[in-house]
Amino acid sequence: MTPVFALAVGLLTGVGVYLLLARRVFPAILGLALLAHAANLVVLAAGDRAERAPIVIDGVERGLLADPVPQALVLTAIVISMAVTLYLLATFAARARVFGADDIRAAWTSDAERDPQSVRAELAGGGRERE
Amino acid sequence: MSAAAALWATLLVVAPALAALAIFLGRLPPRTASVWGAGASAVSLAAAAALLWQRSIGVATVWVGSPTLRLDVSWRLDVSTLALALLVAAIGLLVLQYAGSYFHGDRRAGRTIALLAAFEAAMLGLILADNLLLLYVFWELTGLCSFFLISSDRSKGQAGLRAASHALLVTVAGGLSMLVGLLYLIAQTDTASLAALLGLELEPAVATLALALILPAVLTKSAQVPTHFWLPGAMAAPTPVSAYLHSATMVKAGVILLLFFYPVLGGSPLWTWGLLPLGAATCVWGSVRALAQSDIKLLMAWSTVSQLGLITLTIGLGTDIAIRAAILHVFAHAVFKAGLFLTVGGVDHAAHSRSLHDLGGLWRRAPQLAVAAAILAGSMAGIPPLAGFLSKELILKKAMMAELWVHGLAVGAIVLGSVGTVAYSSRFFFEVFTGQARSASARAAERPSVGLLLAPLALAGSTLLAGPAAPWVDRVFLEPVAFAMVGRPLEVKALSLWYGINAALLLSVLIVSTGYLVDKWLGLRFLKEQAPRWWHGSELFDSLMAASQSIGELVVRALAGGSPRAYLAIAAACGLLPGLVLLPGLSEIDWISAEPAGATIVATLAVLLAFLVAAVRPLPRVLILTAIGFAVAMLFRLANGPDLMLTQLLVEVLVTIFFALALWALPTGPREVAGERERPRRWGRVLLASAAGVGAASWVAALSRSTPDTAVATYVREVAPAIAKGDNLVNVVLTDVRSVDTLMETIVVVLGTLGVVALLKGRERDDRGGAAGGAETASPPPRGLLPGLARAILPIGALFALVLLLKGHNAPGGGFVAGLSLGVTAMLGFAAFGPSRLGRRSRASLSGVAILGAGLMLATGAIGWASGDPFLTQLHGEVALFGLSLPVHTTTIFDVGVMLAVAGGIGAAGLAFWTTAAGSAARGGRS
Repeated sequence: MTPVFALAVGLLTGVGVYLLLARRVFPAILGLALLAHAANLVVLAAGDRAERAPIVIDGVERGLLADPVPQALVLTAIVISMAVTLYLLATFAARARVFGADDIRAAWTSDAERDPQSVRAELAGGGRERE
Repeated sequence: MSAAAALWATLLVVAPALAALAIFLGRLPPRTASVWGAGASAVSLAAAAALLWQRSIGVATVWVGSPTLRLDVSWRLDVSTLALALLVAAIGLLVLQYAGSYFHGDRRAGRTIALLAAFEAAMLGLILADNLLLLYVFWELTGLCSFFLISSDRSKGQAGLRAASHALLVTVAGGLSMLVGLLYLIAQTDTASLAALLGLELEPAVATLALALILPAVLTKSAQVPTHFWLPGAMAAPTPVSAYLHSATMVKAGVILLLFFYPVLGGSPLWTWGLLPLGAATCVWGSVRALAQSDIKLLMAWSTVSQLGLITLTIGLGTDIAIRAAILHVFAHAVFKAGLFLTVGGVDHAAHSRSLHDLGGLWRRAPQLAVAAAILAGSMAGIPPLAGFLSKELILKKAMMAELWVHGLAVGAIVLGSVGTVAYSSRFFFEVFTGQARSASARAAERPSVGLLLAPLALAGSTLLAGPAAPWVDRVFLEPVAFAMVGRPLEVKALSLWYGINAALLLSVLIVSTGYLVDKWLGLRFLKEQAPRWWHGSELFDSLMAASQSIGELVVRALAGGSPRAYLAIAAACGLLPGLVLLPGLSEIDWISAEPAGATIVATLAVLLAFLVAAVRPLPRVLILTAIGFAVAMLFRLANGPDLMLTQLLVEVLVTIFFALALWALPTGPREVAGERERPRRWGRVLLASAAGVGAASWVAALSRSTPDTAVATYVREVAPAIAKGDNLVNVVLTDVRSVDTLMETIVVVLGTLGVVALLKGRERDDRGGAAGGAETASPPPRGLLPGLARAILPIGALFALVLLLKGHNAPGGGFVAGLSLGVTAMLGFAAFGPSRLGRRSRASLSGVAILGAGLMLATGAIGWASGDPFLTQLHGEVALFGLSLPVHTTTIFDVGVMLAVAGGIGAAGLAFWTTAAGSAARGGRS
C-alpha cells in the first residue's frame, strides 16, 4: 500500500506545484486540484493498515476493518475541495469578465505588481468598454 | 464581607462610569456634563467615606465568572485602598467642577468631560481591584482613557495625537510586561487575589522575577527616566485633564501599584537596586528641565516628573518607614499639583498666555488665585507649615537613616532635586504673580470666574491645614493607611511639624535658601526651551518607532512581495522540503510487494500527469484532470474506502462539468485560454516542483514506518457502532462521532457554493445591460433527444440518491454521496431544459435548499441539546407504527440535512454557471 501512496502523492504534488508555478490562472486551478488529491492521499496513508472496508459485517473481526476516521476526514475534504474549485472557477470567470480575455492570456501579475492606476481604471469601467 | 459593602464598592467604581455614559450619550454641554461628573464623583466620595466609616475591610466579591480561569470581579477594601479612592474621587470632584467653567462655551468639550469621568472610574477600579486580571484591565483602561484625553484638544492637531500615541505606546508596552508578571505570580501562588497574595511569603527568586516583570509597567506609567518623555508631551491635553493626570491618577498608578506590592515584593534586592537609581535620576533631571521651561504648564509637567522621581526614590529605600513617607508625599503631591495645574489653567484663562516672558503682576487682577498659588507652590517647595514640608521632611529623615551607599545617592538626589524644586516654585510664583506684566494681554488680564477659583482655593486650604494638624493627620490618616499598606504596625514617632533642630531640618533650610538664591541668580535669562536634540526622548522614541516600522516593511516585502512564485517557493520550502530529510527511509520500503493493482494505477497516474503537463489546450486538460480524479478514486478503492471512491467519482463528474461551463463562460470561449508555452526560467520550475514531489513522497513513506495510534480507530470499530446503531463506520463517524466537524464542513461547502452564486450574479447583471436582449431570451431551449432522455433519467437519479441516503448508515452511501448524486442529476436537468426555463427564482430556492439543509443539521443538534446532552448528541429510538417497531435515528435527519445542503449548493452554483455560460455564448454568437 504505502509505496503506491508515496509514489502517487509525490507525482501529484510535483505536477501540482509545477502547474502552480506557471503564473497563469487556469493552470493554477488545475495545480490546486492536484494538490488537493495529494493531501487527501496523505491523510489516508496516515491511517491504520486496512484489510477490509470499514463496514461491520457479522463474523468479520473488527480489527481488520480500515480506520474509518481518516476516511471520514477525507470524504468531507473531497467535497470541500470541490467547493473550493468551484469558487476558483467562478472567480476565474468573473475576473475574465472584468479584465477581458487579455488577462487570461497574460501571465499572472498580482495586483501589487500592477500599475495601480490601470487596476483602478479597469475596475472602474474597463470591463464595460470591452463589451 | 457583607453584600452591602460589595454593593457600595461597586457603586464607588461604577458611578463615574455611568455619568460618563450619560454625558456621552446625551451629548451634554460642558456645564451640565460637569454637574453630572462632579455629582458622580460625590457619590463615589460618599461611598468611600461610608465604607471607611463602617470599617468594611476585606475582599468583596461581586461576580465570579470562572473559578478555574480565575475570572471574577472582586474589590479589595481596606483603609489604604479606600483612602486612595477618597483622594481620587475628591480631586475628581474638584477637577470636574472646574472643567465646567474651564470649557464653558466649547460645545464639543462635553466629550472630554465624559472621558475624564470614565478615567476616574478606571482609576478607582485600579485601586480597588482585588483580582489581578481585573487590576490589569483597569490599568490598561486608564492608559486608553488618557490616550483619548491627551488627544482631545483638537486645536493641537497632529502634535496632540503624537503626544497621546507616545503616552499610550510607552505605558502599554510596560503594561504587557506587567501582564506577564501577574500571570507568573498567579501561576506561582495559585491565587489571583491581591489580598491573598499579600499575605504570602514568596521565595526570593520568584519575587525578584515577578518584580522584574512588573517594574517596566510601574516605571513607564510613573514616567521614570528614560521613559519619562511622554509626560511633558501629555500636557498637550486641556489643563483640567493635565491637572488630574499629573496629580491623583495615571502617573500615580505606577507608584500606587508599587506601594500595593511592597509587602510581598519589597524584600527583593531588585527593589532598591531598580527603583533608587532611576528615581534619583528622574528626581534630578525633572527638576533641571523644569527650571529651563518658560511655559508654566510645561514647568509643572517637568515638576511632576521630578516629584514622581522623588516618590519612587523614597519607595526604593525599601523600609517600612520610607513607605510611610512615600504615602504621605503621594497624597501631598496629588493635592498641591492638582491645585497648581488648575491655577495654571486660571492664569491661562485670565491672561491668555502661559509664557513667563509675557506674564507678571497678576496678583492685582487675581488676588485669590495668587494666594492659592503661593500656598500650593510653597507646599511644593517644602516651606513650613504646609503639607509638602511635612512629607519632604519625612523623606529626608528616612533617606538619612538608610545604609551608606543608599544614603549618599538618595540624600544627594533629594537635595539636588529639591533645590531645583524650590527654584522653579519660586520662579513660578514670583514671575507670574508679582512684579510688572511683561505683555499687553497680561496687563489686561480678566478676573477669573468663581468656578475657576473654587478648586484651587479648596486644595490650597487643605494643604495649609495639614501642617498645623499634623498629629491629627497622623493618627486619623497616615498611621492606619501605612499600617494597611505595609501589613505590620510601625514603630515611629508621631508626625509633627517640629521635631527639634536636627540634620534634616538644617538640610531643609539649606535647600530652601539655596533654591531661592538659584532662582534669583539664574533669573529668566537661562531659559532654554529644548534639551539637546539627541537627548529628546520623544524624538528618540519616534526614530525607534520609524526603525521598527521599516523593519516590518522589510519583512513584509521579503515574505509577501506580491509574487506568487515567491509564496510558493516559501510554502514548498517550509512544508515539503523537510521531507527530504526523511529520504533515506525510501530505501527501507518493500517496493517489490507493492500490489500489482496499485502499481498499475500509479503508472496510469504518471502517464496522465505527463499528458496534463504536455497538453496546452484547456478542454483536453480538463478531461485529463477528470481521468486523474478517477485514478485517485481507484486508489481510494485500493485503500478499502468504498465511500471515498463513490464520493470522488461523483465529485469528478461535477468538477468536469463546472470546468467546461467556466471555460464556456469566458467572453471569448475556451479557445483563448493559452497554455504556458513561452516560459522563462523553466528549469527553476522543474527543480522546485521535483523537490516538492520528492519531499512529499518521503513524508508519506515515513508514515509507513510509524505505528499509528489506534486508540480512536479501535473505539470507533468496537464501541461506536453499538452507540450510533450503524454498520458503515465512515457514516457513523460523519453523522455521530464527529458530527460537529461534519456540520462545520458542510457549512463551508454551502458558503463556497453560495459564494459562486454571488460572484456570478454581478456578472450576469452586466451581461443583461450590455448584450441586447440578454442571455435568457437569446439562448434557445435545447432540442433533440436530451430533454426526453432527461425526463426518464431525472426521477431515477433522484430515487438513486434517496436510496444512497437511507442505506448510507449501514452500507456505502450517506448524505454527502446522496447530495452529490442529486447535484449530478440537477446538472443533467439544466443541460436538458436550459437555464432559461428555471430562471432566477429557482436559483433563489436552490440556495434556500442549501441553507435549509444546514439549518436541519443545526436543528438535529438542538434535539440532543434539549434533552440535556451536549450539542449534536444523536439520539436513537424506536417508533411503533402499525404494529411494527421502526428504528428512528436523529442521524438520519442530520444526513438529510447534509444531502440538502450539498445538493442545494451544487444546484445553485451550477445554475449560476450555466446562466453565465449561456449568456456568454449568446453574446459571442456561439451556441
